[in-house]
Amino acid sequence: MSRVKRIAKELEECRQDTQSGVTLKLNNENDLTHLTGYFKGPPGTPYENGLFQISIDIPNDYPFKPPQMKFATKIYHPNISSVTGAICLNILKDKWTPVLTLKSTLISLQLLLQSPEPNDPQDAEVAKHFLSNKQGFEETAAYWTKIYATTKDNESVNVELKDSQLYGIDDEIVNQFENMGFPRDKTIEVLRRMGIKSFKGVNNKSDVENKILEELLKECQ
Amino acid sequence: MLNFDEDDNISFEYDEEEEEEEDDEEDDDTNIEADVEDSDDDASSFAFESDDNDHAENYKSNTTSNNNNQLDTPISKHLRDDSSVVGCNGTLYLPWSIEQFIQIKFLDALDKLKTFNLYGCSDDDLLIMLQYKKWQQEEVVNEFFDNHDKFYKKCGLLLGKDTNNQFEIVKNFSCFICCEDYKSTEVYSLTCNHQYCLKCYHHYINNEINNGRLITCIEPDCKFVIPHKDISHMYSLIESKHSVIIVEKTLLQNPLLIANARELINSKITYKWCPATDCSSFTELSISDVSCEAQKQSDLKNSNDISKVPIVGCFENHEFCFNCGYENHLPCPCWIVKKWIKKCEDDSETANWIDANTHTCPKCHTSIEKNGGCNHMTCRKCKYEFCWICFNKWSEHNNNYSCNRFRDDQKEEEIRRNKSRQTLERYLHFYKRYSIHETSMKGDKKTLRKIDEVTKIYMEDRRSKNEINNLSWIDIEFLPEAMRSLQNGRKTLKWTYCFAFYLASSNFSQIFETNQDYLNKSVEDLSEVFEKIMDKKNDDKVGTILKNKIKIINLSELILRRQKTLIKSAEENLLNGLLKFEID
Ligand SMILES: [Zn+2]
Ligand SMILES: [Zn+2]
Ligand SMILES: [Zn+2]
Ligand SMILES: [Zn+2]
Ligand SMILES: [Zn+2]
Ligand SMILES: [Zn+2]
Repeated sequence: MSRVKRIAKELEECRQDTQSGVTLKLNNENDLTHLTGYFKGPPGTPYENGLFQISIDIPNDYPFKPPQMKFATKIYHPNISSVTGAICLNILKDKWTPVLTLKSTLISLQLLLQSPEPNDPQDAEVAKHFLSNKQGFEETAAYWTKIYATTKDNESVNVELKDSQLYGIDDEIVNQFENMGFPRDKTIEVLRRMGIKSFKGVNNKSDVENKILEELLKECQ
Repeated sequence: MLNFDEDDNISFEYDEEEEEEEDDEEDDDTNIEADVEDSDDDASSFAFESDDNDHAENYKSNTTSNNNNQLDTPISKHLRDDSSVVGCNGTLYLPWSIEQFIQIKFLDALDKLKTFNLYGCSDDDLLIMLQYKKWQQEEVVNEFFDNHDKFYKKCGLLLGKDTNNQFEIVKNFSCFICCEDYKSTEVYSLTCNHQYCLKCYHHYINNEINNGRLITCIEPDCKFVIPHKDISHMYSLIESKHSVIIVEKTLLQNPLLIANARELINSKITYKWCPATDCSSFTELSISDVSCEAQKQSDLKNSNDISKVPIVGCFENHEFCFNCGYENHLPCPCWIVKKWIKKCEDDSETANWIDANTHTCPKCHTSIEKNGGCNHMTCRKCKYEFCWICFNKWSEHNNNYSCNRFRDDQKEEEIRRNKSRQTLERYLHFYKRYSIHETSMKGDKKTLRKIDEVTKIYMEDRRSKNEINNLSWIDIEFLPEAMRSLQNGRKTLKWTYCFAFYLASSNFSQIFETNQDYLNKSVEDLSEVFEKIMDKKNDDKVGTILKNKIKIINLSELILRRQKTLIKSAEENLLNGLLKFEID
């Protein structure tokens, strides 16, 4: 069967290759269809110093059908679902050809971290953040990298998990409504839904505040 | 096709001539007609005067002369005397085969394009250009003369003579895709020389082809397009594996052209595929009055006027409803069909229960397998003769055929106790009959196909022996007609159970049921005649056919009449409100 030979060969080649920075491992010695890929976040991006895990399922018709890949590590990126890790990348869909390999695909994923495509988003909320406030987006992405993609032993950081920061929301806004008696999680949920990350540059601040209040009252009924 | 040269390399090339030959098509599963000859073996019979853009019209006039029997759809013959009832003025339903579509939409465009003598373009190139430009030959001509270098590139072609697409056998080849190390294998490559083993190339194409789009080299950034001919050659090579003779496909059978045609047909709502299994033909709605057509569509949604149901014929003569895409479901209106199908899907588990309970003899409980379509069963063990539908003794309801009706009065007090059980039983009663006729249709089909074979073999045999007193086709001309009548009759019968399930009971519903009983009786009778002919113990099958000729003709005419009567009376009584549907 060609699939077995092919995957075995790909694994072997990946093992010998120390240049690309991409690693492939079988989840289980006896099963060639479930693998995990690893690579480092590209330097100069918010994903720097992160180690990202990709879960890989090989379809029966591999290599004629693309492998199914998703991020097992949580990541904040416009083309990757912040909830499921699903990836929006053409070579994993219609642009796949049997000449592409698991390694080349992982490298493409690494490249995707370097150059997001916010106009073809997988995660609309993240893409909106990216387009409206690039700096805020990058801070959040870096925060996620720190929280989720940094292994405990190679980094000494011991960050406190901050829910507002997770969604790139200015903590002051959350505090403001929390002080008014609204639960913290509800406040964050409403702010996410409304796409409000901070009051910076907002002219009609009190209007926006009223709208948030309205939503919160509805939510907490 | 196989050339051996000194280097022990074998290369495969085409022969222009091969285009012309067409291998005899296997007899279509669904084609139960005893067609003597294929009049359209020659592709050119579809051809028509150029310059005329109204393909549909041309096609029609052509098929009228070539395939008289095919355009004369059975609906206009049997059920509707006036076929214009079906549509608005100027509305036509045209049956097409995929081959015709390819000929008229693709190959005729190719022929026209050839007259422009585009410099340096092979037929392969022209086909690619045409498909790239969605078969608009004018656009190909314009872009070609505008900037032919650019156009060539866009199409994934290399100018003229430099193309070097190859099928060859090479030694010591490692295929990057399957990772096999071959001592010697067939490989394919385009001008770019990206070589992969034939198996992988075929697999790749087989995956890509369903999009119906042009297929490029496997290499991700390589834009060279694989010519249509190479694709079909590849299929031929794979299909004729281990055999010396490679049967080349004609352009009409070209896998990519077929896939592209399918894509185009799928994308237009004026085309509808025939729902019959194994049938790949479709019907086109050609409208001249759009607003009338739109009105008709919306009228159909909840209408009980079954005279408006657009029953059309496909190229293979199958009848189907152009509105909902199901087979001819008369006497049911489309909306009832939709409801019923939904219900059957929802209740499929209860329906399975029926299967488990209906496969034993009611007397001795031996399990019984049903082969043909006839519902007159004889238990192999105890010889008990019974009706497969109602499980009553066959002799008892032969004269007064009434196993269709659902009787509320059976075991009255028991049923009354549980209303919901009654509802279920009522549904099962109708569903069982509906599904039995569906199964019987398949059984009939099998029997009919065998009869078709037997008569053909017999005829061949006689002809080869040069027997003077042989049976001629005229003698069994009645057979195809009778076979179709049986099939269509049973189809109508099947749908009467859906109709009856939703029917509010009244004096007129009883008339409907009486018509249903009559139709049932004649359908079963004819089915039984055919099944007896094909009985294993009968060793003069053709003789039996001839002996029963009058009986078969009479029964098939009876079916037609009863079918027509049933539909006509349902149509009238629905319109004047004497028949009503009851929906909960
Ligand atoms: Zn291969
Ligand atoms: Zn190439
Ligand atoms: Zn058909
Ligand atoms: Zn319909
Ligand atoms: Zn028995
Ligand atoms: Zn019966």
